[in-house]
Amino acid sequence: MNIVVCIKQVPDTQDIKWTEKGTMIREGVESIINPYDEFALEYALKIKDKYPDTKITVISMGPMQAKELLKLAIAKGADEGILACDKKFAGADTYATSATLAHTIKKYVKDIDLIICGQFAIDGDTAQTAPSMAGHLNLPQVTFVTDILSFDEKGIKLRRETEEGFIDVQAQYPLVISVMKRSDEPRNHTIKGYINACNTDITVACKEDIGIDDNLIGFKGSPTYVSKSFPPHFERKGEILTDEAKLLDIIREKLKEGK
Amino acid sequence: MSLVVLALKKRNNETENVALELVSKAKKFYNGEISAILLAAENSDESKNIEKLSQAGVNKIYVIKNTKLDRYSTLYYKEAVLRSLEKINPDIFLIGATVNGRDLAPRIASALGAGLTADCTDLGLTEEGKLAATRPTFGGSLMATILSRTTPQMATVRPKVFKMNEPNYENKPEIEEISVNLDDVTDNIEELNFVPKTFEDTPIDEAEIIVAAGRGAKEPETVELVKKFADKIGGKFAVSRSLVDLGLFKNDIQVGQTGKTVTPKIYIACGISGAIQHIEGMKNSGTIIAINNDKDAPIFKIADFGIVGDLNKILPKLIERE
Ligand SMILES: Cc1cc2nc3c(=O)[nH]c(=O)nc-3n(C[C@H](O)[C@H](O)[C@H](O)COP(=O)(O)OP(=O)(O)OC[C@H]3O[C@@H](n4cnc5c(N)ncnc54)[C@H](O)[C@@H]3O)c2cc1C
Repeated sequence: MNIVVCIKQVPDTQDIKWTEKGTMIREGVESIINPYDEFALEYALKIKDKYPDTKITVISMGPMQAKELLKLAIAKGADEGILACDKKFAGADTYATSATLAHTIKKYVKDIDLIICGQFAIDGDTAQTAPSMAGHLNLPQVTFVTDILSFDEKGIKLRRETEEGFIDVQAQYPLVISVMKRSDEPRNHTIKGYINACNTDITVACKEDIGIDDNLIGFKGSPTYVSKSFPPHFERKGEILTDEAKLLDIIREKLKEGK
Repeated sequence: MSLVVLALKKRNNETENVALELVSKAKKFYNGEISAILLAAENSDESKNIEKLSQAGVNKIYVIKNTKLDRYSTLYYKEAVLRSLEKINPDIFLIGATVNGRDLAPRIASALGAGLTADCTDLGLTEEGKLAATRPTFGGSLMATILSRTTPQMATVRPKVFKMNEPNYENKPEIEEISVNLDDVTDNIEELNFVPKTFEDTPIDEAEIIVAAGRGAKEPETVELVKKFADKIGGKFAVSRSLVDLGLFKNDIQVGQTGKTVTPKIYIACGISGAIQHIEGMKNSGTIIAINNDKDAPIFKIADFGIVGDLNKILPKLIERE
């Protein structure tokens, strides 16, 4: 089988510290593979466990450093890495990002069976990239996947979670899926994988290599833009209590008087 | 000039409340025509849904009919919406950020080349009459207003972010049936089985008291203390996203922009710093109380009352006291 896994480089939010004014300190924050994408890769690796001649291509759009994360994915068992990297990609919203990823995939990967994405990126959390990319590629999609129940070369059985419950579906390839996190941890890299990663070159693709139109990429290709940002204005009196007992009194009182 | 709300439905064919909330909000900032799109199977009885949307105050309801629309399917719904939008041609198109809404909205946006802003916490118009979609920025300390260069200008909003208006029983919207042809569309994703969730608990967004734990309470003993305290005062236990990210709890008890929006009488934040994404989900609570060992934590600025100190010392005292 031919599988693509999309990976995003994100700042490690567990690592983020705040200033007194409540702004984020970005220095020294480590970059990691978006945690949801780790699970996307793990599903691909499970398929490869069963069908060893499966080829897994990991793809990312991002800065040159993201090469390291693609190498990490190869160390875990992926076969190839492609990084869409160009100054002109900067400032992309989800539309331009998914267009860029879709064109990169079209250009570099032939006869795809399955594209797996993480449902969310922890730094943006829009959950828009996978469906939008599926749209650009004109492929069917299954989102909010909590489990791959079974698969063979013909099709795949997936479980999807909605507010109301769990829906099991049977889907055919080619297909885009986006996956949620699971309670079992994705695997770590192996020594063999690590050596393999050292010997594998990551393909770096710029705009010209991909052959994508200027009006689909970066800030210019993004239909949305930030017109202004401003501090929120909610403020309360923030009375500091030194006696815990007072807190319980307040709780009792407020419950009596209603909202 | 028109604004359209997509009214997706639950499995029992009832319109999701978030669509009514979006109509209610739209009535507050939009003066042009407000309509709703309802998708339905040919023979489906939509009278209840039409009644609800009327009472929410829409000027017009488009009922899009096709046998393939009996239940949510990404590709049938996408095509049906796209084909009806060609006729309706709205300036603004709003979709509830339920699971299916979030599955569908980006798909429609990418087909139209339209700008789509996810999980907005406020909507309004600019002076030029464009949709101003506001949401927290990544850093978590600023809000950003996002505009769209293209039409329709699209946005999604989570359930309960906006309040539903009082029903208007006088409102008589125009109803237009559009039948779309979907003969050329196939969706070969086949539903095999559905297992409903059992809600043995009240969901957190219906609780009167919420006691929420953040990363400051990540240790198992501390989590236990927070839960015990919640039990003592009859509150529901909830969490910030940190504890969901750590894999300790599921997203359905997460408060915030990408979790649940809650408005309990009393909200108690234990070891939560007060990032905007969190605050957006609880700022309209009756009384907000914060317990945090950092006196400068932003949470104190939006709290009514606070205690500065270690949860592991304070909570036991609160639990023991009568
Ligand atoms: C797109 C996006 C969407 C997001 N959506 C959400 C969302 O829906 N909900 C949400 O909550 N977050 C959300 N976040 C994350 C948000 O930005 C913050 O990272 C998160 O809310 C921080 O959680 P926290 O306050 O629990 O942890 P921290 O910020 O780490 O705060 C922990 C606090 O605990 C205090 N503390 C530590 N030890 C103790 C102790 N022993 N006793 C007392 N206090 C102690 C510390 O002083 C600190 O103030 C989102 C982020 C992004 C980028």
